[in-house]
Amino acid sequence: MKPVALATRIEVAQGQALVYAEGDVDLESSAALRQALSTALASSDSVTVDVADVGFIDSSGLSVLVWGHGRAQESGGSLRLRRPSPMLRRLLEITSLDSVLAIADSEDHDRAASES
Amino acid sequence: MPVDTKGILLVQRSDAPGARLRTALSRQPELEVIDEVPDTRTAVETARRVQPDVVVMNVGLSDVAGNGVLGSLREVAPGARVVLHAHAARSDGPGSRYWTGRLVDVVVDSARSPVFEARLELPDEPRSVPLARGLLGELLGQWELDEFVASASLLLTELVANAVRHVPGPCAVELTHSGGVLRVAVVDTGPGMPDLQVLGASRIGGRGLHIVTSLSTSWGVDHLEDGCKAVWAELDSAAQGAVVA
Repeated sequence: MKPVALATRIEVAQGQALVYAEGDVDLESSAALRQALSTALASSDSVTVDVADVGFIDSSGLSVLVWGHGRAQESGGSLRLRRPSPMLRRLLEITSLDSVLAIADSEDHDRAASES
Repeated sequence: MPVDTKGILLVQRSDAPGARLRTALSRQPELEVIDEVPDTRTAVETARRVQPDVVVMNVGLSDVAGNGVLGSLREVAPGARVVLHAHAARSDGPGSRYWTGRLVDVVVDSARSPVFEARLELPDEPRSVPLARGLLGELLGQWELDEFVASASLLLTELVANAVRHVPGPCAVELTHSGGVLRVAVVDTGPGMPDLQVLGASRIGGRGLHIVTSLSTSWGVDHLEDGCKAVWAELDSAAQGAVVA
């Protein structure tokens, strides 16, 4: 498991923002994830983060997700995760964040995109 | 050389910290420094020739991670144990006396017992976190302990991140595998102690030690000489089946 630099991509469709994250999220890279969420939150209060290609995430990454969720909630929205790895699901359970960060149906955004 | 003396190959710069380490190792009755080389390429050639018991390598001197030196050493000298360190980073300052002594201990232990050991010193910068994780992955692969990678990467990342965030000055990662137990430890010179936070849905941080608690079989803090402490976590190979990568 070699460390992989984090890359992010943001798509906005029908008022919903989808952030694709790819790589490792840790103390070094969590600021970049936070920046991506901040950008997404500027265009929508409904943000989905696709984490299928996040090979590693630690507590600093979870903190950024919680921060993003809080920001979205302030404007009546929410932040959801899409396609979390089994390890990330386990981390969400360990930290009791499974009741805070909802897991999105992976079809949601695709449907929204195809209807647009 | 007496039968019970272990041969050391030093891979390091010929500077003052290098000389200090060489002297400290030479004082050990059971160790003999059989050669000293300044770079990893020469290290592989020399290891092939002298077949050392232990290779003590300063990873600060060149691009050790990424050039496959660990794999090459294993090929040319399969019996040699490798102890990695970046001793030059701590030639002076708080903890330096402990640091040299501890490194010598690690080399002595490594020469004495069938234990995999590695030690790496890192600066207090965020990039140390992926660096430590990368080295862990490389070593666990080399030690054929892939079942530990997912959990150990998280444990080490959390411990190194704590040291980088809360303690000024370098920290050191120590990895030991013995009797089916992998121990990851991070040594720093900070007086503060790890503090478990109450988990809260709206809290931004404070989850690292909960992750360490849940994924490790045990963890704790050792008080060391010269103002140093080690925060460590252990993983049992029998428990690794429960963790999904």
